[in-house]
Amino acid sequence: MPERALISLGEGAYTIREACRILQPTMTRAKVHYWLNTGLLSEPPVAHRGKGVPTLLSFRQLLELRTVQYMRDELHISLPRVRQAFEWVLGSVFVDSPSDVSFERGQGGTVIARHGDQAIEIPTGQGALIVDVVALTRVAGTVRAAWLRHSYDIPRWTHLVANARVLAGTPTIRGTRIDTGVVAAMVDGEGWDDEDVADIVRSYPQLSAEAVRDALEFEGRPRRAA
Amino acid sequence: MKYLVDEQMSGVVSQGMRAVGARYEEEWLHIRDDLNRGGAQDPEIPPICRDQSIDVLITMNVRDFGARKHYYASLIEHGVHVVVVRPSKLQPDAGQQLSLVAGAHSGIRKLLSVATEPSLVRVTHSGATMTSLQELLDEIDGGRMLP
Repeated sequence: MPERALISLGEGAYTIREACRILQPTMTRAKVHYWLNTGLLSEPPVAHRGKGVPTLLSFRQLLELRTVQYMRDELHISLPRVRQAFEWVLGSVFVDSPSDVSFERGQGGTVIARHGDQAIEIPTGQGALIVDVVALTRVAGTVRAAWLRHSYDIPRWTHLVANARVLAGTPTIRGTRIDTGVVAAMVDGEGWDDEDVADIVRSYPQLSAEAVRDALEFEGRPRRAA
Repeated sequence: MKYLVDEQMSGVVSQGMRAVGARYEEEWLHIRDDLNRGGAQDPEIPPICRDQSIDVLITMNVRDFGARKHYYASLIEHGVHVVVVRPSKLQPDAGQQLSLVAGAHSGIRKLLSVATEPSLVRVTHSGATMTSLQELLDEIDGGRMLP
């Protein structure tokens, strides 16, 4: 058998569309492509090779997207101005050392990022908003924890995860091998109600009604008006 | 032949297929209901199959099939036939899942009987088609798309 670079079991593989679904509502394909094409993210395991061969992102890249998304959307940090520093930040979050990444306020409005015995000063840019270093430390810790356990808890839906080691990372109901896509496929396009949820639970008794509702809402299936 | 039904598919499938497969001396197990391995991680699947002498993993896919090819190819490389049920636009409730698998059963058996190595079998409402690992790898590399 010729040598091939297959993505191994447990690595996780995401189409850009799926990454945007996991990181909804603010992640878009345009953002992902821009960040990929401008070298902000690490190299994808499968780069676009033409029709029928989707770009596949790794689990690490999913978390990189989440980190950048947080910095942009919630901390309003201007990436073009601090790009190099944040590449260092992203690189530090994903190493397998026991040290955590933390941030603190430096002099003159800068932010100092620390990882182990290394530190880097991040300029926050002219006129940039004040960076919440506590929040930044928290998100770096959250992303590192997800990286180390190979599983990302999907915000807003407590029963859903993207676990790189389960069905190649597609969103699943926590503790199962049941992906949200399968659950969503069980209801028609007109919407769902509690009877539909009960039907799904009858077919999959390991699922709670709450988990099923999370999956349906995550997948954007409308709830039928009573 | 011994089949393992993955957790995305209802336990109704393995229960129903026991009756269908009995005449062919087949064994049908469900990863959760029979092996108590619900939530098993992907790297655990090959050793589960080895320990239980499983020949075929039956799984379901409703979208992003292209992204899953690496996953299926990795499973096949570990020596397990993979049957992927693709229900298309129909709502794949437990009854539909069983109907799809039962309807394609003779086609699956026929294909696997002539397979010389672990392969991928795709099941749709049109029937079953088989892809060798080499062909699947060619697809992954952007080669000829197979039906």
